Amino acid sequence: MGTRRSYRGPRSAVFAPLESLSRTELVTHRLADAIMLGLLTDAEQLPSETDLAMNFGVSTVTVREALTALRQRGLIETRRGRGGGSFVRSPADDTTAALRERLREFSPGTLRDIGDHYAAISGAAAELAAERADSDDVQRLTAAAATLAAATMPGDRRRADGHYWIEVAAAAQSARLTRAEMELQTEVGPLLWLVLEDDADHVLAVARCRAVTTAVREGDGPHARSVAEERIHDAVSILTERHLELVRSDS
Amino acid sequence: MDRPHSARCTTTSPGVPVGSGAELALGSVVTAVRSAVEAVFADVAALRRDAESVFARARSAGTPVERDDLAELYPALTAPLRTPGGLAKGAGFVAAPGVLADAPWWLEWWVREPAGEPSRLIVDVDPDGEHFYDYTTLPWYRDPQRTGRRNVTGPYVDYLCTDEYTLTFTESVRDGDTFLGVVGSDVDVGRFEAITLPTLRAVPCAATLINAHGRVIASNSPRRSGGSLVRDVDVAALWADPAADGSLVRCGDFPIGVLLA
Repeated sequence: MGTRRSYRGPRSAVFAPLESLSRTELVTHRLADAIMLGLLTDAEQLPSETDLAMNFGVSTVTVREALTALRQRGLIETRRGRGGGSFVRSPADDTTAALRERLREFSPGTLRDIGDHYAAISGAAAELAAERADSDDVQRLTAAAATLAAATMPGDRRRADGHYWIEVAAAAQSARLTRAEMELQTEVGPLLWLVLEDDADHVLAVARCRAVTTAVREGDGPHARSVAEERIHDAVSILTERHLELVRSDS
Repeated sequence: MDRPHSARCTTTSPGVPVGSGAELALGSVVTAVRSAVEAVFADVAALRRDAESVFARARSAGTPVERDDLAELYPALTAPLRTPGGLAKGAGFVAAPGVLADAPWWLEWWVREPAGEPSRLIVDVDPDGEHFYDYTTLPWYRDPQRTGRRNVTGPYVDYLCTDEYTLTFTESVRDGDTFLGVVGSDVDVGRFEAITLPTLRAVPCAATLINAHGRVIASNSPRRSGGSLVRDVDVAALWADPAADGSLVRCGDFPIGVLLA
């Protein structure tokens, strides 16, 4: 329908039209997010520059700039000649190793700062959710926590955990906090989910979601906030420990 | 600080005095809300009629309905998204699972573009997809399916589609007793607030637009911030019997009312 060529299927949202702000960055972010989240898979060929430009509604120059930025970040590689083009180099393909590599680059100070930012967003969202959630919101939080509890595969757990905290931000009735939560999940979610590796971590994550849901239902904002903040602070302290181990084993 | 709009209405039974300036001001709030909502619902109804005729015709012809058949909805669907200054920022048809022959799940949803033609919103409709979401559990779909009545969802953060604070107006699409999906329009809460606030400000006491949950859509009182829930008043009781003490005035045949408290 219409004149716009649209991709259908699971990865279609990746190629949805963009708004007209700082286009190179938007294209870069959209593709980088899709690669980090595993929406575009390893070794997959990206559409041609012309097709990308058409789908995003931007010029080919913008697409070329974005692809250069992605190449510099090691998220794609470009092959020339017959069968050439841009191919995804997915860090998700070798999740733990790639993430450990990324963790090595974060200083404890940076990790602390990321934690402060995330705790501020997540804590505020949880507290406001407790003030503003109606029965529909609580129902969705309960369902999202149940999905997390039932998830067994690491990927499913990661998605379910991310979805739960987006529901919290949405229940806070704040579009900005919801977008901030989504952006933080894209940026540092994969790192945080490093600490969701084993079953004990999973049990703790589920317990926290349930505690927040209960606090939201009972309108206990301060408790909802403290559980949300604790989740981030715990993750950051584990990540800091791991970072220090990685650096120590280097020397 | 002088805050005239945080004053409470002293006459709560039966609301505001008949024929008073307050009553007239309240009347213009109701008129503003009703005309905005009815204009949106009129577009939704036009879309519903087109959708129902697509399915009815296919049934008499004995042919299945496919995604491409929805092209017939295009004029009714996109017209409100082209109107300059129009309220709707998105509109479409959301199919009940399995009613389209070539797409088990489908959202034919279009959004207004700041300049130019409306564009189709691309949503993950593959149940195995990373971003798939079962829309049949969401209030804008589930409620009109259950009740068969016109529905207002929100204000809510529409993280599924646009990540914006949204009011969604939906109606069910049926062929006889068969439920086929919903049609609807999205309205930005900020726009709705901007349209209704001047009339609210003219009411000489605290006046707040709320939905059925008691969620604030717009208010002339700083005590009632947009998106918050009214908790100091038994909103459910007022909706059950708005005439009871006159502190809730329904704006029309949809769940938006003016709370005078």
